[in-house]
Amino acid sequence: MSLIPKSRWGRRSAFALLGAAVVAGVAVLPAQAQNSIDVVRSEVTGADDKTYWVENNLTPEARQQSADGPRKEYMVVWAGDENVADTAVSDVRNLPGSLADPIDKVRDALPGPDFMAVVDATKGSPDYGKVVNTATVGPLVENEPHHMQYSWRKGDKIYAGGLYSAATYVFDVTALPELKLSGISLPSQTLCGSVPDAYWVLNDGTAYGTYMGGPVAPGPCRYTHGEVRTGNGFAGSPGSVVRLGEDGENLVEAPAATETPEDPTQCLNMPALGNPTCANPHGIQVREDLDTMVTSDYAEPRSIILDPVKNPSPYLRRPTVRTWDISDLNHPKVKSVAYLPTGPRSNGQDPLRNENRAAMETTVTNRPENKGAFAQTMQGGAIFYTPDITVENPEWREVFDLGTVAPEFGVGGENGGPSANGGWLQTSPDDRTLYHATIGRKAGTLGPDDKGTAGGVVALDIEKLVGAGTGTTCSIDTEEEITAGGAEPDCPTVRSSVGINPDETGAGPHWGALDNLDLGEDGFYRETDQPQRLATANYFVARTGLDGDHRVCMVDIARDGALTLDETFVDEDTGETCINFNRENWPHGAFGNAKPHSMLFVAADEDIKD
Amino acid sequence: MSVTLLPYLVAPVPAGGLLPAGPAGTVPALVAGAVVPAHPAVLAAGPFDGAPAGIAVARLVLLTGLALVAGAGLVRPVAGPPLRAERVVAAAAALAVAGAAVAATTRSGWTAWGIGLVAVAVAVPVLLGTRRPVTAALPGAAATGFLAVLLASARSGPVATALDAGYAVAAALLTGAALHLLTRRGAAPGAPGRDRSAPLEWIAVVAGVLATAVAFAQILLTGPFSGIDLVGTGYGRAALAAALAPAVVTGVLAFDLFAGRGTARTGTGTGRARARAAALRERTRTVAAVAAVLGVAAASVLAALPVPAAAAEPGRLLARGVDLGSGPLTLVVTPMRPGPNLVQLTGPGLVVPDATGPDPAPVTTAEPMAGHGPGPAGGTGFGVRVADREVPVTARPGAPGGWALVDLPAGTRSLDVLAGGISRTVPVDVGSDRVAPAGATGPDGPECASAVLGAVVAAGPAAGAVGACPAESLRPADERALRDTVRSLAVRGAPGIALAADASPRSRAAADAVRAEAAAAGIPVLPQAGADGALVVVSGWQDAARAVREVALAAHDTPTALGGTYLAPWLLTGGVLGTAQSAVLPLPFGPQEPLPQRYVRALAATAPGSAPSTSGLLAWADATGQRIEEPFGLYGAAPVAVPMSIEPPGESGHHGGPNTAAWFPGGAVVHIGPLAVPTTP
Repeated sequence: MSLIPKSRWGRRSAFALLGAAVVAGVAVLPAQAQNSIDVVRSEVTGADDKTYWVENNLTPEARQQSADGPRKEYMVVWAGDENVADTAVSDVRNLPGSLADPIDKVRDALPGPDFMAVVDATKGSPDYGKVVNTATVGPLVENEPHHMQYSWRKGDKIYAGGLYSAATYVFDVTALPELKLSGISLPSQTLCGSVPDAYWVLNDGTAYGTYMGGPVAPGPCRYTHGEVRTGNGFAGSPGSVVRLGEDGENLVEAPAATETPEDPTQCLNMPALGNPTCANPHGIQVREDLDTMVTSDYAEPRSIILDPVKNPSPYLRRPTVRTWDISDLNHPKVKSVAYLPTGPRSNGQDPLRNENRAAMETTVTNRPENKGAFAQTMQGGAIFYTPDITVENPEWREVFDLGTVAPEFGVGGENGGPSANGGWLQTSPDDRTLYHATIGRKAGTLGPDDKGTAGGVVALDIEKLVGAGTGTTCSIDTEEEITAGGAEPDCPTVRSSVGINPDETGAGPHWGALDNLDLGEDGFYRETDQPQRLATANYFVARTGLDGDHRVCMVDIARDGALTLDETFVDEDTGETCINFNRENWPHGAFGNAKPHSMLFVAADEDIKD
Repeated sequence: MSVTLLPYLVAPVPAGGLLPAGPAGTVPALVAGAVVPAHPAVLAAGPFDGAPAGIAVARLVLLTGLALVAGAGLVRPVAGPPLRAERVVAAAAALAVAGAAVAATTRSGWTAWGIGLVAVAVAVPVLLGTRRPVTAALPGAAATGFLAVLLASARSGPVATALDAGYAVAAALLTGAALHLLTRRGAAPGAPGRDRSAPLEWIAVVAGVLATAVAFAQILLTGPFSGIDLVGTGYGRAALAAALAPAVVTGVLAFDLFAGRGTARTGTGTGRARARAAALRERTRTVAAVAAVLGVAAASVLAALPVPAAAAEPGRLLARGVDLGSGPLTLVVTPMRPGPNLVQLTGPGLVVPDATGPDPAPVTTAEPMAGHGPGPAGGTGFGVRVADREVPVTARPGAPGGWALVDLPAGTRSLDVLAGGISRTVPVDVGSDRVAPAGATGPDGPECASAVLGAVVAAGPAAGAVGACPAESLRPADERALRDTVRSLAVRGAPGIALAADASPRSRAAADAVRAEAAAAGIPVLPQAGADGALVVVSGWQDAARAVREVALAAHDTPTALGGTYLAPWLLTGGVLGTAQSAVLPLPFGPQEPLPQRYVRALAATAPGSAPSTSGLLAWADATGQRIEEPFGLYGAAPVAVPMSIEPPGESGHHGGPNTAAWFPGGAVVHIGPLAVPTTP
């Protein structure tokens, strides 16, 4: 008996059925594989006796990597679910009933879980660039995932903060690609600070964290050691520094504000405080060997728009950097409050864009013989340096204007310093290079004729500057130096730069991370002081209007320091260079776009040798 | 597109916007019982949800093809062997079904149901090509079953489901018969030979009558509930088409039947008469076949359209959509009684002028900031017209969207909503009973509406009875929380408190409680908070927004109320929070926690632009049988957003300002500790 129908139509139908089956098979098999997600949950009990969790959603690739093959290096990316609060108004207007995927719009409009994306960062791996796990946090939503620590070492927990939830999550990454939750710090545990920003992990595994905003309730707040400062409330001023245990416990909360009023003309507070203060710490780095911590004050992190036409006051953006005495790790004390100097661009007409405005980040030198530190300003578009952070009152000088390098990033580039929107700032472990990420300035920001600037990453040669010790002479104080670079011989010079989205203005990265892990010939990873690549994230904070395109890119660092975009680091869905966090589906579900703020290179403990 | 079709093969298809709102502009409103599950990935359908165009087209192709295939199989015992053209159509329809099913399952994988559907669809044309085509009736029946399941899957309730299933069976028969008749259009009914057109035409006529009756019954049962919506919305027109198309088939086939019999009875007739009869028969059968297919297509597309607006009923809050040219907005009318009624118009990004004249409306972070475009209808000019009276839609402090207080005389059947030269007619029914609840249209009307809306979101339009408004009495739990708050302030050493209250019964009772507790705790109640005092606000939304804004303005230059701004629990809503630099509230729930977030999701999905509120949550929880039992805690709220400059026009600004889907648009509300209940200050 023949299996093939005898009639002509019978044969045709049979072939059609076969064709449909083949198409279905091709379409379905990968889909079924995609649906094979292992869900592993880790829970802790918070200080409020409620349960908090991280829920791993491990893809088949994650299982394969655990089972065999080369040891894997990962990049963990702390990302927030995008919702209507983050989308452009044109999207919002079309939200309901429109023809353009309204269901997706509704879904994106509503809070989904924030998550830590675990990305395969093993160069040469077939899964390079794939998201192999999304570890969602709950039950809190709309955390606005922000920063973690600046780099990760074997054994470290990962401290990750949520701007809006004022919570700090502590993750255990020893069993990567799976994450566990070690603890959580809730705002009720850090009453004298809010809006956690960044962290520095100490040698004992605990961490300092900057809480940029004021006490959770307005009025006087008593810190761990009895200090009292009056604050104007949640997300106001003054902020604090908190030392967190590996379980999220608040070990100490220290005031960032001094007992005496700070400069009332430079330090606006809303509502006004009896003791004006600029203490809104954002960036934080530590030299435990020098018993010194440095924090940079960015801004009072809330804004009520009393007048929709007027700009918020520029004096809500801070020009200050603080050094702290941490000889007693449980009793950090502010030692100095330095007002960064204005530079040759400052003319009194546009204080928002004075070189010293919005001191977002700071980074310390690393080698024992060096004691200097750098700071950068987001609106000011400048980099500052002090050669010795251990002295009573460090002197900070401007050593680089982003106007020098702006033309190299891409389109525009004229007058590249003002509102350059610089962010990540990091010295290389060997103190030879200073890396800085900048978003750039959208065209038209300074006026109708403003062509704006593209963004990217610059690598500055700082060998001479750091090598000069306290004898440094570099200072940007003439108009020529704005674009030509410092005239003094020890001033930083551009070693290399790479534009991210070079054809667009204001579309560069806010954040970055150096890969301080190196794969040895024995197949194990070791820490290195010669990073060969870095990663960048094109996202700041959607509510501020600096939303970015939500891509995470990889940049190779050549032996000579040259930076090049790694074009093999591609999105698993689109095949385009850089991985895109604007995607429909994640291992944890179809939650749509996500906002990647910061990232770290990590590997499982067992895959790293000391 | 992140939504795949597969769930819709066996599960309800979301209502929503395959087609834009019709010329009359009204888009339907709240889904009855649109309870949103905890997991956002499986959001229930809302009134504005649209099935993405691709999914809707796939469904249309799938169901229409399935009807053709099913019909081609079902009619075989009567119709006998098919002609080649009929087999070709059936094969093409089967391929279309298979293709749509494959497309639907590309991302989500197959289920046994999906495989079975494709199998029976393909089996029909295969069997039609065999020597025993009558065997195609079996897969044809199975395909009819699938069609019934799919068509009915968008309904809830046994009657509506049964009606759709009945329509599916009738439509399959009708389509199969019409197809067969079309392929045999050269044969006259009753003509001798193998032709069996006559019984098939009878089958088609009966099926057509049945389908028409069922479709009209469905309209009566599930809407549209007014003639305005029936002819003015995409859903209404599709429903009408689904009902009228089978009627057309019935009509033309009945004509064909009797005209054909007449020809047959008269014997041979003249050659010219026969030719005319054949030509007429060809036209009528073509019309019948096209109408039959269109009917199924219209019925299948219903599930991809926004569902009908609820029927307006006296005494029940009406919440529905209205399209004023730039996408649907949420329209609320309350209390739907003769006399004064509040009409709210809201939607993401909606901008309306302040009622008080040239001064700008209280600006909150819930409103669009500089850098944003105007609202959906150009930013201004919204109005409501009843008879010849036109009332402008204006902002109310503390409340989302725009509001108009209109007088609806007894017997009013409709009102017009206006914007930028566009007018939309909305059916209303205020009845004749003048028993409007106190406070429903006064300063606390928006909160009252929010509470009723919470119940409607939870339990559907039937839960929309406008009863006692929240501002009419002070809940004992809220009184305890306020007393505890005052004692907490005493413990914190507040030098004094200023009290902001208004004339509502709730506010008066709350103010009395605060004064009594302050006296007991030894805290002076001051006319002004001063530099270090606290402001305790127990008024309604409107006065609270004003009081808090005044303090925020004063604090801009001078230390003011540094002891904190403490808001009563019912003031947790974006319109009030957005006026404060920071605020502290005693709340019995955490806004970020799952239950309140489910309420927020439900509200956003069913009534976009509406602001979550404590009163809304409590009503929602009550209607869903859940309790907000958590002890009160203290929560801090502040507009958290780094103050960037106003960047290039249209470039950035504050991107996400108008997120009315959040408890605090543009801000954060976090738990800052328990509400201490010290026994002594």
